[in-house]
Amino acid sequence: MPDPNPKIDLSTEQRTELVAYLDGELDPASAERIRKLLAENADARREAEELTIAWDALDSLDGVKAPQNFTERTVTSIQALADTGTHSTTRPFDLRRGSMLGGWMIGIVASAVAGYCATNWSVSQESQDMVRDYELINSLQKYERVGSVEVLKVLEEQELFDNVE
Amino acid sequence: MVSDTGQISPYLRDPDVQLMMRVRDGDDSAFTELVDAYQDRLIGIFYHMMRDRPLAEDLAQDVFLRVYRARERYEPRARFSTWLFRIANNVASNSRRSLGRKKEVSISMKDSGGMAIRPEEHLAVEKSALMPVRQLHKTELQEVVRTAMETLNERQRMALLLNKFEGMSYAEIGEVMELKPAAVKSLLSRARENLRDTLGKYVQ
Repeated sequence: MPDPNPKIDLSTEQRTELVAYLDGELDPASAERIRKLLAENADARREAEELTIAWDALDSLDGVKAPQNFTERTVTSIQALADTGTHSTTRPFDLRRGSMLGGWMIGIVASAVAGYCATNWSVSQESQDMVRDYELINSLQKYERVGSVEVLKVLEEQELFDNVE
Repeated sequence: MVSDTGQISPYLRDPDVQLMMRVRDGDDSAFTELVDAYQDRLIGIFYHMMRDRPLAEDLAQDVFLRVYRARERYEPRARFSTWLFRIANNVASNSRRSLGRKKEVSISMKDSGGMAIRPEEHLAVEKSALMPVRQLHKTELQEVVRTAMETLNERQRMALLLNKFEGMSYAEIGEVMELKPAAVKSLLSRARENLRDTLGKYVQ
């Protein structure tokens, strides 16, 4: 199937000059050269026409309107930044990012404090238990050597150690 | 406004430059007038660049913030609109770079999936569906034009938008984009050729 838009045999310079001609950007002598080219060359005329049509197609893009309160919002936020002296480093859309970052920071700090308190309470409880059972822990090796409380009871009944201090 | 050479700035005749001079002197109502006058144009440019309405509004606000921050050292060295769109061009480039970095991360994270459809391919899909119908409805034409715009690179698109919707000359576009007029001429020529290539089949 033949290409409906075959490349036209114009030099790069001619193409550049043609676009500048269509934009009204050529000096009189160059403009005259392009006028002559267009008069003599059907391919150049076709290219000029296609360039113009494609250019005009850009008109289909709708104009963009700012939201109704954009001016007020922009001026207020910019002046507020200037008043607080932070305008030299902060950008408007950084405010949104900044508030998110602030939220994350508060969350992280709260988690850290909660973790610290929980660990502190748990360790403190463990220490108190060890103080209470200090006597037992200190004599644990002796108790292990004895093996059984029943043996101690028998020895006590025989009063073998009454005189030993 | 008298320059270092003792000459009065020719740009003082620009009414928006006069407004900006009032902003420089502390007149906040003049700043409100400027925001009101340029908000639609800025949001429009950013929207056609980014295809993202909330982002376009954020970027327009960023431009106005930069204008306000620069007010005390403002010097009328160009038409106000040229100066404003130069700031807008920088803001758009920064945003593009930032979005590009995010996209790179996002693409590398889902690299195992299928390849995303490029704008040209998206257009090709649409072409096949619309091929028999040369007369497009306005909404269809808008979508085709928007997609064709996406095939242009960022600089081509910005130059095209400034030329088409702001009516800027090559010299003014050069001032905004910090390019020589010859570079603008070449940039716009390539942009128009690309647009013609992608739109040609629909709009004949």
